[in-house]
Amino acid sequence: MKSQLSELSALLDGELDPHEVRPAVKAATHESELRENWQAYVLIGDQLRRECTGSRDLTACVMAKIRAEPVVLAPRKLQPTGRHHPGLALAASVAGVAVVGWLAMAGNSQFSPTESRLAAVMGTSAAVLPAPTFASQVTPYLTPAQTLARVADEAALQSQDSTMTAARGDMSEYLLAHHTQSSTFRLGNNAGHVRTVTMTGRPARP
Amino acid sequence: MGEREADLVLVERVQSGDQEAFGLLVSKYQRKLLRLVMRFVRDSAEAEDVTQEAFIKAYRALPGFRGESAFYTWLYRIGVNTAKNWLVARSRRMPTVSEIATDDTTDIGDGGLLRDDTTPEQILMSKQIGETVNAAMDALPEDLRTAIALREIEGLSYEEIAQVMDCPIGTVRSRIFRAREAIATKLRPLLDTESDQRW
Repeated sequence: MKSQLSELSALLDGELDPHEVRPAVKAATHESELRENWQAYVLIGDQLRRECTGSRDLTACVMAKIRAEPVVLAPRKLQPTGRHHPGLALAASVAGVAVVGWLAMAGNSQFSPTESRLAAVMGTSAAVLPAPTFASQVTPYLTPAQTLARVADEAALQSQDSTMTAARGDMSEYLLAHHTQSSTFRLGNNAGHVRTVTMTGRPARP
Repeated sequence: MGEREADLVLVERVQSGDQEAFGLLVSKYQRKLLRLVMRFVRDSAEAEDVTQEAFIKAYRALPGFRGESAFYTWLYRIGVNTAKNWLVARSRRMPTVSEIATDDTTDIGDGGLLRDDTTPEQILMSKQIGETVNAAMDALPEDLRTAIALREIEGLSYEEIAQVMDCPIGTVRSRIFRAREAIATKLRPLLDTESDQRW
């Protein structure tokens, strides 16, 4: 407990190492004793700065009302941590390309049977995926046919089926969660003019 | 990781469904926000109500908070808007002098519209807490007292305090923690009283 209190004290000051912050926050939100100590440390600082107004502690009143509110849930935004899940990025690339290919084939027949089969395999889940709303790194421009072939080669060389399936499932769930927050994704027969992209997890630039 | 980033981690936990994380943010910023609100709302009891309302509004708006500004900057704007809206609503509610029945003045009670509901017990408790903290500070060893004063009063970072005190950052962290614990130990008996009589 003493080490947790020490971390709590540093957390209050914003002086924990990055890898210590989330565990400390999690512990503080789960342990009532840590929350009470947090309140005491905050009160000490406010008293030393002569910032106390003499009124009562509002935390309990506010939290009683908060607990009566619906639980806040917001889509988890990507963190600029540099971590990269190769399977996820690859699945996103394939999903994005598949949508392009599927829509393109709806208006023309310039894809090879191999490309058509690949797009068809991805098409069932890719068809409901809207365009991502986060920033992406744009790969050098390729035609949809070239991109499909390239992705097919990469897929054969790299990921296991289960990894791709899991990543694709994760991606589907994530994008489905965002579906209502994105504009409707329609490319029509102009899919051939759309550049393919790869996710790297970088946040959007302001 | 700075204080702003630490707040963002707390916000993310709230956005993931952990309501208790919002309680930590309320504890941290309630007095600061209350002081801000009291610039607009003179009555302390009403200022507390407006402050609570601002926190509720902030909680409901959290899904839209993207972290482009610091959490308190964002909360500050909500506090100001809530206080201003309260003033507008109050000006519509307040009866004019001619609307007050002259033979109903007893209903106004102890001065009516400009009241302060802070009880004598709250004032006494606040004074006791202040005295306890000051006495505990005076009783601290000099290195602990210096460390916590530089942090809480001067607002220096641990790195800056380490330079001032010519010691490692880990020592600064330890001294500040030990100082807080020493003061909190003397404060806890007061804080264990009725929750609505705290500070």
